[in-house]
Parts: sequence; C-alpha cells; structure tokens
Amino acid sequence: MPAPPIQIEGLSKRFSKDVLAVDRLDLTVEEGQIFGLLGPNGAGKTTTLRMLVGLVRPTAGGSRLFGDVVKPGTRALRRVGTLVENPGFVPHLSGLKNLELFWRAGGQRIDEADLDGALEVADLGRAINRKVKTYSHGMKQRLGIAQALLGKPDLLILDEPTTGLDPQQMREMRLLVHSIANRGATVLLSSHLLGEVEQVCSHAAIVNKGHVVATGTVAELVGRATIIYIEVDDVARARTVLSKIPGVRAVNEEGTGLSIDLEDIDRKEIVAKLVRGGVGVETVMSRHRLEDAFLSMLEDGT
Amino acid sequence: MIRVELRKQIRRLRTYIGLGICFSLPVIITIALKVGGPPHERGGGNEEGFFRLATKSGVNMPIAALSVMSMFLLPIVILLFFGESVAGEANWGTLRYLLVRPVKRGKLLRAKVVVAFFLAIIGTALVIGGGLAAGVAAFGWHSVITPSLSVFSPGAALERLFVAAGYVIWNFSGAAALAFMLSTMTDAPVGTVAGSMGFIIVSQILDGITAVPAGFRNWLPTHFWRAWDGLFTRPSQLDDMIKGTLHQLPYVVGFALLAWWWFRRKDILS
Repeated sequence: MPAPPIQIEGLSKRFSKDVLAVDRLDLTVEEGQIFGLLGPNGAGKTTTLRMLVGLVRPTAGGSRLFGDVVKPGTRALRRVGTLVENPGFVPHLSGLKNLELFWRAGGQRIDEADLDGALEVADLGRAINRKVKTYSHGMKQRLGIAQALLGKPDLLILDEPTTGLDPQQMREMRLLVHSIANRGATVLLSSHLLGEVEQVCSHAAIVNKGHVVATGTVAELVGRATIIYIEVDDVARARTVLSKIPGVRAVNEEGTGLSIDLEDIDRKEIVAKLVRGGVGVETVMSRHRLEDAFLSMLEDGT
Repeated sequence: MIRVELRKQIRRLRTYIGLGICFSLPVIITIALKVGGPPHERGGGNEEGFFRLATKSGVNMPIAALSVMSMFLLPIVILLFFGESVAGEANWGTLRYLLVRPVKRGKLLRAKVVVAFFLAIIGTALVIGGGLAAGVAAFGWHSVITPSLSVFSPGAALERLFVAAGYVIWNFSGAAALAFMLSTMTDAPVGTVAGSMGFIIVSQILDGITAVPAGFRNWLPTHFWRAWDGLFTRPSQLDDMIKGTLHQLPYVVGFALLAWWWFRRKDILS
C-alpha cells in the first residue's frame, strides 16, 4: 500500500521562548481526501503548512510527503502544488512569464507543466501577458492557484485560498477544489472559515494553540444531528406535519420561520413531506453545526 | 536555474539604470572634457592624474573612468546586484515559491551568485566600453601616457586594463559577499546595500588614519583597491596587487560560508 500523501508526527515549532506556534501536532491525510485544517487565526495552521513543504525547520517531530521525510527542497515536492499565504510574483514580468519561470526554476521542463490547463484556471484572458504589478488582488489569487496547479500535482496545499476573494470567486474556488479532487488529487487546505471547510472538505482537523483538538470526517465533526431553518406559508400546518415525521427531534418558532432539529433524516425528505402535506416552503437553510462543534472544542482545548 | 534567474534580473528597471549609469557616466565625463578642455594641473590623486592625461589619448579615458568609478559608484551598483538577489525575492513574496520546488537551497544560492557576478562583470565592462568608445571618438587612438609618465601602446594599455578590470571586480567581492550574506538574512534589499556600503566606508576611513598600524590596514578590504595602477608603470609593480588579491580571500570565503550556512537552515517566513 502506498504511503499516504501527508503524515505529520509530533510536529513542533518554537520561534522563541514565549512563542510555541505548533505543539506536537499529529495529522494524516489519505489519498483523495479534501482535508480542511480549521482553526482561529494564530492557531499554527500556516506554520504547519510551511513546515510541511520544507520552508520552516521543525523544532521537534517531522512530516512525510508520500512517504519521503520532508527536508528543504525534498524530491517529493515534485508532486505537490502549493499556495502559501498570499501568492507572490515577480512584478515586472507578465503572469505567463511568471508561471514559466516558476516552473523552470524547479528544474522541470515547461512541456511537463500542463500550462494550458493552468491558464484555463487562471482565466485571465489577454491580461496574462500584462505585467503582474497591474493585476488586482483577485487576479493574483487566481494566478497563484494556477501556479499551484502546474504539473497536475498529486497533492495540493492551499493556505487560506479564499482570502480576499468576492463571493462569486469563492464559489468558483470551491468548485475548482472539487474538480481537482475529482481528478484524484489530494487537497489540504487551511481556513479559519467554518462554512468553507464544511462546504468544501471531506475531512477536517480542528487546530487550536498549535495542536489538533479533533479530527475526522466533516460529517463526524458536525455530528449526525443537524439544524435547519425553514420559512413556510402556513406555520401551524407545518408544525402538524413535522410532528408526525420520525427524526424530527424538536421544532421551535424563530422569527417568521421554524428551526428544526433533525437526526438521521435528510432535509430533502423534510421538504418533500411538507410539500406533500400542503405546506408551501419558501426558504430552507442549514445551520452551521460545525460552528457549534468548533467553538465547543476550542473551549475544551483551553 | 541560472537562465531563469538571469531572465528575472535582466529585464528590470533597476538593472537598466545600474548598467546605464556604468556606461553613460564615462561618456558624460568624456563630453565634458572635450567641451571644457583638459583639467588644469592640480597634482594629487590618481583619478586626477589619469584625468589630467585623459585628453592625450582616447585609450586613457577608460582607465580614468575605471579609476573614478571604482571607488564609489561601481561598488554601489555591484552591491545592489548581490544584495538584492535573495532579499528582493523575499520582498516580492516569491522566495517561498522558489523554495517549495524540488530544488536544494544551495543550488538556488549558486544561481543567484552566478547571475550577480555576471551582472557585475557586465557593469564593469560597460564602464570600460563607455570610456573607450567615447574616448576614442573624442581624442583618437593614441599611445597612453600614465601619471608616472610611462607610455603604452593602445593595445598594450587595453590588455593591462583588462587585467585591471578583473582585479577591480575581485576586490569588490569581499563587500559583495557581505551584501549577499545580508541578502539571505533580511527581507529589505536596501538594507543589504546600506550595510555593505557602510562596511566599505568604515574600511576606507580606517585605512585613511595613518595612526592605525599598517599591519592592520593591509588587511582592510579596501586597502589595495587602487593597487591596479601598478599595471600602468614601467616596470609593473604587482606586489600590492598580489597582496590585495590574497587579502580579499578571507572576506569572500568567510561571508560566503556564513551566507550558505545561514540560508540552508533559515526559516522562510517572508
């Protein structure tokens, strides 16, 4: 069986006497997972990712990429695409030239880079031939993702990939991550946004104060129970219908709508039953149960 | 790797300006001498000595240009090439992307040094080229008379100038290695130039104080900077050039090793 893309064991980084950024962190990411590293700002996510790609030397512990012990410039980095914090480009060269030089600096031939695929992701049109210093933040971010995708990496490491993007671009980013994962690649992304991890990731680890507080599939972390919020045209009738559905644990009126506590039942089924019962459903929203999980775990961790 | 670095550095405003100064200043000086006539007898330092004679032959001009540029302007340009090399990448935010590639850090440093050296050679060549082209156009292709009143044929003078240029570049290498070392340590390119320029200035000041023991002053990195004018006397005086070449070694090796040692273990946080 091949080694997992990422194995981190007892990883620690102390920057000074008072600053222990990462504290005995353990983490394994299996092939094909979209793994979210979730934690508040300053939890040690970025430092962990930097150690994982050999930019920062661990004080203790270590990590492996595809079974290879990570050292600066380690060979396994050939199979890894990276976006660390902000993208960085040579400002006086065009986006296209930047991608070319980035790739060739790794000692690899440009025809191995799948440049066309990356350009499609960057979606910069003719601006790709303009100097990078004329780009907007969003354009740089897309170019940064495109750069990380050069050479169709087996593992993609993205640090806060949606920072500074507008909602439309965030949506595109999520779709992009899914399409990369569909291709068979593994993705590790860090985020301080719960919604992002919940929507994008299959697995997640919650990090606080430099170590993992909880890890598992997103569904496990969220728990089987979920809360949905609905708005209907007839609240009284809705309550009657809902009271007969097994799996509905509680129904509470909230403003003009209802919040429903569910267990082991899909929200689609709830909506279908309401409609069949003659209730018009206007709005359905999921509540971020991960947020509750997240906050309670962070509290436990302190 | 080296070609990639070269592509990155060469098409930059900063490189154009640095190299442009190297070429144009000797040309401007030549025009000034042509229009204003030869400088009056004032005696004194070597650059004045060479300048006093600069109108005698076009081939004198590049020697004068190297002499005047090598004390201040040329070192600044060269220290900029070395000092910017790594810190400039950190400043752009591209250093981390160079280092997430499957490339050893030592290899990156080597490429950076080679490119900076190449640009330093180009800069020095432009000083000489600018001086020679403008000088010959203005004052003709004649034998060279040096401040010690030795006479060299134009060809012989150029050969010696070629050696002198190599010596000048080598004599900057101690300070250049310092600029490079600082470049691996900081994210601010300007700081590397300021730091290594300060090193040169301190060395020049100490060298100027005769109360400082000669045994110590001999080891200052700038002490033998002018020794190349020994090439333009008859017979040639090469003792100081050889000493200068050797005395530069500890600085080059020391700073280069420190840079390498530091960069290999550095945490890239930029």
